[in-house]
Amino acid sequence: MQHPNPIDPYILVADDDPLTLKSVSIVLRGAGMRVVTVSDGAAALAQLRREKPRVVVFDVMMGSMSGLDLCRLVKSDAALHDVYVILLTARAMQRERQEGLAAGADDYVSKPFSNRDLLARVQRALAPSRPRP
Amino acid sequence: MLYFGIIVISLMGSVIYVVGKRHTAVMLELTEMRGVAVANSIAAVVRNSLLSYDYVSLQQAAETPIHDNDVLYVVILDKEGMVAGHSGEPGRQGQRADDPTSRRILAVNDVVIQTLNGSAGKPLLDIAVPVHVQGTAVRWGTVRVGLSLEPLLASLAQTRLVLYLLGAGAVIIVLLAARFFSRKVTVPLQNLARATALVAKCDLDHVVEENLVGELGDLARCFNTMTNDLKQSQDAIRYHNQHLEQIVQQRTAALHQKAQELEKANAELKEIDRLKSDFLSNVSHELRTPLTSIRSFTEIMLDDPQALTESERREFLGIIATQTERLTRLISDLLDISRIEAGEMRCRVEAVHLQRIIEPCLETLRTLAASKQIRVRVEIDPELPTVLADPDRLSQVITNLVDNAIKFTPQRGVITVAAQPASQRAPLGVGPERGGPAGMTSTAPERQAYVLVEVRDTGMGIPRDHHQRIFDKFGQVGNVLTDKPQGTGLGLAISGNIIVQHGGAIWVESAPGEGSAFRFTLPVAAVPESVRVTRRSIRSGESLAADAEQHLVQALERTSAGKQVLIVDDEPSIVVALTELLEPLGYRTVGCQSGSQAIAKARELEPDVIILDIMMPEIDGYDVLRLLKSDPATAGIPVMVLSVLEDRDKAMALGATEYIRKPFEKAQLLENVRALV
Repeated sequence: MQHPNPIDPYILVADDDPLTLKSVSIVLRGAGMRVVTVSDGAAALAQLRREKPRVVVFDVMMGSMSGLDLCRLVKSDAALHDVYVILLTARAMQRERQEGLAAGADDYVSKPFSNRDLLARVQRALAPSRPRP
Repeated sequence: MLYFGIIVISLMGSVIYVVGKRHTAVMLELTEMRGVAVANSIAAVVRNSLLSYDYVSLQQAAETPIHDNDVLYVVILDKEGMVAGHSGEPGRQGQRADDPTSRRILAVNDVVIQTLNGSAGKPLLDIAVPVHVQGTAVRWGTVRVGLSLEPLLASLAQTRLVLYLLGAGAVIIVLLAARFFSRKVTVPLQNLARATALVAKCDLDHVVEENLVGELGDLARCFNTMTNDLKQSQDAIRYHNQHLEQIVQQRTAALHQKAQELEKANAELKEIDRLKSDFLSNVSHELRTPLTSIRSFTEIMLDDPQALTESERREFLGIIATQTERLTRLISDLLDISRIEAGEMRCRVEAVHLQRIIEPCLETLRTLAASKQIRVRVEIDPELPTVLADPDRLSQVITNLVDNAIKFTPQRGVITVAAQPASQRAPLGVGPERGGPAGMTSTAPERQAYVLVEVRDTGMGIPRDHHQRIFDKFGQVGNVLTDKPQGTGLGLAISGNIIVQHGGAIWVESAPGEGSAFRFTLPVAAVPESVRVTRRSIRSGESLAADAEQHLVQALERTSAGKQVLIVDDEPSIVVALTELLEPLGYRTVGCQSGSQAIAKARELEPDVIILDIMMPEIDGYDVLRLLKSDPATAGIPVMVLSVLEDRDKAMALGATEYIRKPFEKAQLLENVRALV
């Protein structure tokens, strides 16, 4: 694992399951990213205002504020709308996927996900040539 | 009537007029003929006198009286038209007759008949006949006869009077007849016509006069019968219509109610659907969350094992192990719920010591409690009797309740697990409809003794309106998206069902901020008095407690050991279920599936108890009971009837010792079997 470096791409991860936070941060940090983890929507919002991340990974099912709500807030905020949002969800039904994409999410990953897949998606989001949503 | 009268009168008048006219003409003709005859007879007499110009004879002939008294005069004229004889005026003999009447007569050589006005205007008939010599047309003279018409006219007038009188009489008779006819026929006919019009306008109350002559009376009677029948049928129709209306109203109301019920049911179904959808979503989340960790950490360890430290490897493996455990528990909960749904949740009850169940459960949870610095206290009444329970299921309930308590209790909280004897299954009214605390309760007959188990915490408490929902299999408190402490909410639904299966009750008492208390009761296993005494006597020595318990179980087993139970039911699953229930408790069981087999087995084996179904083909339970009780060899065997029927009295009257309805509470059934052997 590497030490956080201010020039590394900054990723915000929000999930109410501490184990998910742990494994996601291990995977992303292993790829040289700077990861901040929060366990609820309010903390995620506060962290978003403090420093704008390149990519956010939100769990859909969280306590006080769902990942969908967070996603909508990010996409409707002039300062944050270009943040790449990946939704993590344990709800894998097509309807829910559509709901997530309707909320403005850029990508959608179902739990249980493969670490490599998640990493690939985050890296694709970071690539300069990625198409703007 | 008026027109009719006028027509009759004018017809009558015409008839009288024509008849009068014709009569007058005939009479006049007869008079003329008579006049001509008189004149001719005179002419025959005077012919020679005329030829000889014998004027004296001619005057005499003229004056010769004639019997016909209506002859006014006789005038004889000679060849030259001179008066040769005149009955009334002899002095006129020799005078020329040149008055207009005579000139007209003399101008014609034939009979001339004229109607003249005589003296004083009295009408007369003047008849002139020329006198010829036989075989020649030479006129030798003329005979004129004047006949008075007065008698004729008088006679005619008389005849006319008679005719007029007759005519008037006829008119009166005709008019009277018409009036009579009108009163007897026309008026009733008019009345009938009016009545018909009224009937056509649906006025059926009108009755016509029936007291009429002949066919009219029949007609009126028929008419009245017809209106009466019409009225009756109309009344019937009206009644039926009203009835129909009433039925329609009732049906409409019923339909309305049905529609409302359907709407309500629909709303309920939608709610259930929503709950199921939430539940599915929740289950999906609960399954995927541990799976995510297991997969992630497995991949991390596989990808680059060398990069990880030994402690990291241990930590990750630990995570994988606990998450696997969590997943396993969830899957087993889901299986339990599906068993409950299918009605296949089975409990093998036996006499159980609660301490023996509670302690091991708490042991496995102490680590979890310790991680939150939660103190777990145990308060078990040492006098606690054994309960009838399935040890595995009971462990499941206690683990679930304590696990929940740990989950919802903050750091440094206290959890108390207590057990004590109780005299009733539950405080009054457990359940949503009964106004008591939220929970679930068995509906089996109440028993004398229970044990009350309580799991109390100092956690956040549960709002009152959520109490019932936590026992619902889809009703986890709050929405999964907004509420944290996780879980599918299946645990309490499963625990509730287990407790109900045991014949007990479970309920919650909680308020936000005041912690929660989950309580449940289980029926006490019937313990022979002697065993209890033994137990009390040796209770003093703590070290002896375990021995005493051992004794107790042995004593219980002795009560059932070797006892033979004959199970009679045509449904194999019932026989199997009862066998599974009884054999572990030391009973020997024999099953049979027909009445005749049952009687044969009962005679052969003389079992200690017979469990008998009623509804069986061929020989039913009642017949089996009769046959058993009529045979001295089997009459003494206690029979426990187990039936879906609700006819306890009949079975008891036939000699049954106990009556239990299907579906039965296992605990109750066992208790009864125990009491019978």
